[in-house]
Amino acid sequence: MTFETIGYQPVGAVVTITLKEQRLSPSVHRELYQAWKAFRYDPALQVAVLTGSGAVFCLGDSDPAYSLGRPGPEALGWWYEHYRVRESNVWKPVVLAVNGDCAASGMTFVGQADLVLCSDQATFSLPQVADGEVPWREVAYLADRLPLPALSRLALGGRRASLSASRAQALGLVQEVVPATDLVDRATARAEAIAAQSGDSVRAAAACLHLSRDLGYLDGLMMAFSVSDRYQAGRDSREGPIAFAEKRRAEWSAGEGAASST
Amino acid sequence: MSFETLLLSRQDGVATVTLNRPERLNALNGPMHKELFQVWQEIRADDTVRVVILTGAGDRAFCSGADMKERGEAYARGGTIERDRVNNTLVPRHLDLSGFPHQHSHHDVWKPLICAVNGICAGGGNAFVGDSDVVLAIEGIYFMEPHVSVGMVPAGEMQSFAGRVPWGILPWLAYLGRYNRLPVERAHQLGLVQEVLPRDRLMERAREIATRLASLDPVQLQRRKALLWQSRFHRLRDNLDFGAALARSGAGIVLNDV
Repeated sequence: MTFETIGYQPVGAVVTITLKEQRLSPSVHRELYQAWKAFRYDPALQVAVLTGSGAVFCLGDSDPAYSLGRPGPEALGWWYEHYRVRESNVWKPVVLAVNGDCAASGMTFVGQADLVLCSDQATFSLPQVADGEVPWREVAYLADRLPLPALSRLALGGRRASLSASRAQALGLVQEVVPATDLVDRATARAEAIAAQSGDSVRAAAACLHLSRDLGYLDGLMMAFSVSDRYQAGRDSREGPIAFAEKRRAEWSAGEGAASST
Repeated sequence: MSFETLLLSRQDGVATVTLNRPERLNALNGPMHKELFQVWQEIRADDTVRVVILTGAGDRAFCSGADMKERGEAYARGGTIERDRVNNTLVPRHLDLSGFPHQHSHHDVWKPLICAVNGICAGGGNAFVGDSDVVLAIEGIYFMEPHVSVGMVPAGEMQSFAGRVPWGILPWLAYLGRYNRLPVERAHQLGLVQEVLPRDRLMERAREIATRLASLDPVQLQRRKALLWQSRFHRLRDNLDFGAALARSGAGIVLNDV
């Protein structure tokens, strides 16, 4: 697939999607939506890596009106609702490689990602209040990823409050900090490690986690058990234990159910 | 009552449950599932028990999760395991949380549980950690979530970690399977583990906390625990209503400093 505002490079089971522009214009929204869709329905692909270019990961929308979700002249609201990972209902994991500054609606990628790796140069911020905007979507997605006081400071502090890579890691927002030159390699290695697992297991685990995010513990358990029970009908749930007992490498059902959305 | 896979001792209001299959890294097999079901019933019913300590036997592991050797051998014979039958009979599992029997909270045990993590902890072992009130661990160990590496789904384990660590840690643990480890120091930094101790201090500290808790009014203690757990089960508005009702009934809402 060819795009203008993003890169889309599938290699083996991993596709690397690169943001070429610093801000999200209507074209970027549209192309990302198409890219997530292509990723979701390509049975050869298991995991995506999303990264940016140069010193910037993503600085947010080119026009803040988009983030209000209003349908614009090109039905922008609709594109907006679909370019994010979860809103495309993709249960294939997305590994974020935050290569530099990540701000405003760029933070929604962090809020919706599965793994978040960043370079030691990365920063995380929600500067919207300085422009009279409200980072409502970002706050909603970050609420269970950051302790409340840290999130409040980020959302209310405008341009003055930003998290460094090391602070973001200490707080658990980021799982791994990597020197800038090694970032994409590390993210790709992590993506390949995920792709080596049972794909059906990973997608079921992702569905359990994402679908239960808005639930309390008991409802979350019920959701997770329902997803997991449904998954148990698949081949991998028997192949995995048998391979373990026979001390051999498991042969996963390649691509089976890869396009299903649980 | 005596058990094949567990040790249970009771002293001064403190029950200590030890996962006792050190030769299998304290893996959860069929008998252990059944016996945990029994032990939680017994602890709930025994009024002399006020506080529980859960730990593992041996030097290597706290719990390595489901016994995959048992499961794999049964599947290779074309069979099922006891756990499958528990899960798939009677009522659908999602309507019957006792189908996930190894966690004490699924048995309405509102006596505080102190988890003394004496070695590596993997897979289903994590559900104990996520099910505890206080988590102590020894230096040099790690937590691991290998379900997806053996074709399984980390369902209850990661649900029990939700709210205990920032959400982003969950997929990082769950999808990388055996290719990832959460070192105890990082678990401590994230708040999953409250204290990291030298091995020879672990049980001493667990008993110290347990004894302190056991000296409190047992009814008040259980009510306070129920209140804290309520906040995991439900949303803020429900919690406020529940807390207000408890407060009116005379229960404090802050656990005493231990």
